[in-house]
Amino acid sequence: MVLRKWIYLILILVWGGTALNAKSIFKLRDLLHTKDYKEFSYRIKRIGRPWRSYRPRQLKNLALVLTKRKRFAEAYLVYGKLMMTFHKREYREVRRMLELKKKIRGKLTRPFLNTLLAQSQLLFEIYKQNYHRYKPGQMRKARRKFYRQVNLLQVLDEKNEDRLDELEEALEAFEEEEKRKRQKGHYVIRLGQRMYKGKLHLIRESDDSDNLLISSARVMDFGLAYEVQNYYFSYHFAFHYMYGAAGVQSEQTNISYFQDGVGVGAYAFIPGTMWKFNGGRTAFGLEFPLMFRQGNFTAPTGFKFKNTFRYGIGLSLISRWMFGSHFGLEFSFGRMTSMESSLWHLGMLYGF
Amino acid sequence: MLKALFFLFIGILLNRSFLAYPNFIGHGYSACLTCHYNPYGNGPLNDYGRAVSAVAISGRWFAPGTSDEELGKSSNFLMGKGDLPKWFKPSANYRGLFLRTNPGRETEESQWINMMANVNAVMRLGEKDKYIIVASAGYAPKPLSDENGIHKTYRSREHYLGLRPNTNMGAYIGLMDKVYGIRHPDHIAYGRILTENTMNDQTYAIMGHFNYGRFETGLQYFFGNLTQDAALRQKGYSFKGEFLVDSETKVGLSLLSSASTFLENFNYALHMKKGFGKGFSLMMELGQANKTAPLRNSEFASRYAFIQSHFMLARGLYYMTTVEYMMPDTELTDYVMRVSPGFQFFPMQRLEGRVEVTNTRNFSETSVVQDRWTIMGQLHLWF
Repeated sequence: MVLRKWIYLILILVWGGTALNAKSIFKLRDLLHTKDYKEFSYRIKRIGRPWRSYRPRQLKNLALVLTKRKRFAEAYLVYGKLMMTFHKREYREVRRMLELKKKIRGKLTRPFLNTLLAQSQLLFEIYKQNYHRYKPGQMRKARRKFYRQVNLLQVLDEKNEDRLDELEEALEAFEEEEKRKRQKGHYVIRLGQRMYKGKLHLIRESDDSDNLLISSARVMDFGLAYEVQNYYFSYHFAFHYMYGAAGVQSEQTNISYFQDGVGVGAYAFIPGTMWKFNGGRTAFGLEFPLMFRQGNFTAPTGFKFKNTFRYGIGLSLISRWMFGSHFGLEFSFGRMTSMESSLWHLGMLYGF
Repeated sequence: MLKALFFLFIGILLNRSFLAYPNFIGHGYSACLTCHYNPYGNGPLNDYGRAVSAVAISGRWFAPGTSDEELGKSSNFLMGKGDLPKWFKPSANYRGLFLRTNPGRETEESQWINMMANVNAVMRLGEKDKYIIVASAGYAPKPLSDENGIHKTYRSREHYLGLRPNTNMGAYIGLMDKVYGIRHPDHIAYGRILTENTMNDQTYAIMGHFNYGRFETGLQYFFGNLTQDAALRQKGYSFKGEFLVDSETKVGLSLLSSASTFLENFNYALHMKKGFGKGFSLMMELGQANKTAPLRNSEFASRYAFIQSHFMLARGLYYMTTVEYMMPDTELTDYVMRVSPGFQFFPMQRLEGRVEVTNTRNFSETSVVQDRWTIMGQLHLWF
C-alpha cells in the first residue's frame, strides 16, 4: 500500500498527475472517435476531470491530430480550451483589450501567441472546408471571424507579421479561385432597339445593270439568352427576333429611288463572352452575331431586287451595366459582313 | 459641310481643364468641389484634386515602383519643388487634337490642332480657401468659319472671385461656365450645343452654391459675356439641383432660362451619375432646349440624350463609350445618333490621352444618307 502511494507520488511529480487518471486520458483519445462536431463539443464540455489535470502538450497534440484528420473546428475548440486553461492571464488581458479598449498589462507569452496563430490558420481551414456549404450570412460571419483574429494578432504579434500576411493572401487567393471555378447558368431576356444599314442591289431588267441602294433600319429587338457565368467571366448564347421599318435610297445618281417605312424583319444567333467587373455589376465583351434579315422592298417597273434576304456574320463590342441583381442596360457596337455600316444595339435585360 | 463638321470637332474637350471628370463618381468622388476650386468643376484643381489625380487615377506605367507619398508630393506645380507661397497656386495646361474625318474615303482629311495652351493662377486667402481668386487665359484657336478674322487667338475663359465661409455654402462672381447639366468634358456633345454650354459660352455671373446633407444645389444669375455685343448677350438664370441617392448614385435636375434681343432660351434636363465600383461609371442626361426668336416670331424645341460609360480596364486605362441622340425639331421625326467608342488613358500624372472613333447616323423620313466617321486622338499635358 505504501509502495503504491510512493509510485503515485513519483508519477505526480513526473507527469503532473495526468498519467494517474487513465480514464481522463481515455476521454481525450475518445474525443478522436466522436462522429461529428456536435458530439465532440458535447463531450468536451463534459470531460470528467478539470482541464488543468492535462498537460498543455497533450491538448496541443490532440489539436494537431484533429488538424491532421481535417477536423478543424474541433481542433479550434481544443486550442480554445488550451488558452483558457493554461494562459488564463493572457486570455483575460486580450479580452479586456478587445472589450474595454484597454492596454495589455504585462507581456504575452510566445506559446499563447503561437496558439492564437494556430487558431487563425484553423479559421482559414474551416472557411475553406465549409465554403460551399455556407449560406451567405454564415460565410460573412466566418470571414469576419478570420479577419478579426488575424487583425488582432497583427497588433499583438509583430514577429509573425509575415505569416499573417501570407495567411490573408492565401484566403484572398482561395476566394478568387473559387469564384473563378463557380459556374452558374441562367436565362436572360433582352429587349431593345437595333440599328443597321444594309446594301441592296436593284437590277435593271433591260440591261442587267446593277444599282446600289442603301437601307437604314430601326428594329425592335427581342432576345432570349442562356448565360453561363462565374465571378469573372460569362458566356452566352442568344436567339433574337427583330422587326421594324427601314428607309432605302439609291446611292448612285443615275437612278432615283427612295422608299420609307418598308417592313423589315430579322433573326439572329448571337454567341458572346463577357469579362465581368465588380462581381458582374458591369461587364464588357465580344459578341459574334450571325444574322438573317429580310425586307419587303418593292422594285419599280422594269427593275428587280437581287437580294432582299441577306445574312451575315460579325463582331460587336458589348457593354453591360446592372442595376441590382436582375435588371440591366446593354449597348453593343460592331460590324457585320453584308452591311453598309456599323450595327448598334441599345437595350434592357432581365436575368432570372 | 466639312468645315462645319471640323468646326464642331475642334471644340471637343476644349474646355476640359486638368484631370477631374464627373465619371470619377466611379472612384467615389460625387462632388466637383472635392477636387476643384469651382463647385461645378472645370478650371484649376485644388491640392487634394492634384494629389488624387496623381495617386488614384493616373497609371504608373513608366515608374512602377513610385509610392503614393512620392506621387502626392510631386503632383504640385513644378513637381512640388518650387518655393512658392501657399496662397499662390499657378498651373499650366495644353491640349492638342489629331483629327481624321471620313477615314478611308476620297474626302479623308487629317490634321493636328493646338486646342488650348493656358496659364492659370489661383490665389487662396483666408483659412480653408475662404476667399479665392481664379483666373485663366491663353491660346484659343480661331474657328475655321472665322474667315474675316473676328476671333482672337487668345481668350480668358475664367476669372472670378469666390467666397466660401464654410463647406456648405459659397458665393462666386465673375466669368465662369453656366450651371447646367452634367459638366462632362465633351463640349461638342449635342446637349452642350443645343443648350449653348460649349467651350466659348462662358458668362459673367453671380453664383450661389449650397450643400444640405445629400442635396447639392446651385443658383446662378448671369448677364452674358461682356466681350460680346450687348444685343447678343444672353441674360438669365440657371439652377441645378442634385440628390445623392447613395455613395455611388447622384440624380439631378437642371433649368436654364435666358434671353437676348434676338433669342430666348428655356432648357431643362434630368441627369444621373452612377458608379459601378472602382473606376466604372455611367452618366446620363436627357434634356430639351426650347428656343424662341421674338423678332421673327418663331419657336422650336430640340431634344437630346447623352450617355457615357467608363470601364477601368487597368489603372490609368479606361474603355469608354458615348451614345448621343439629338432631335433638332420635336415637330419633325428626324433625328441624329452618334456613337463613340474609345479609350482614355493616363499613363502617368500630367499626361492624358484619348482615342475615339465616332460614327454619326441620320434617321430621316425623307432621305437615307451615308454615316459619317471620325477618328480622334487627343493629347493633354498639365503642369
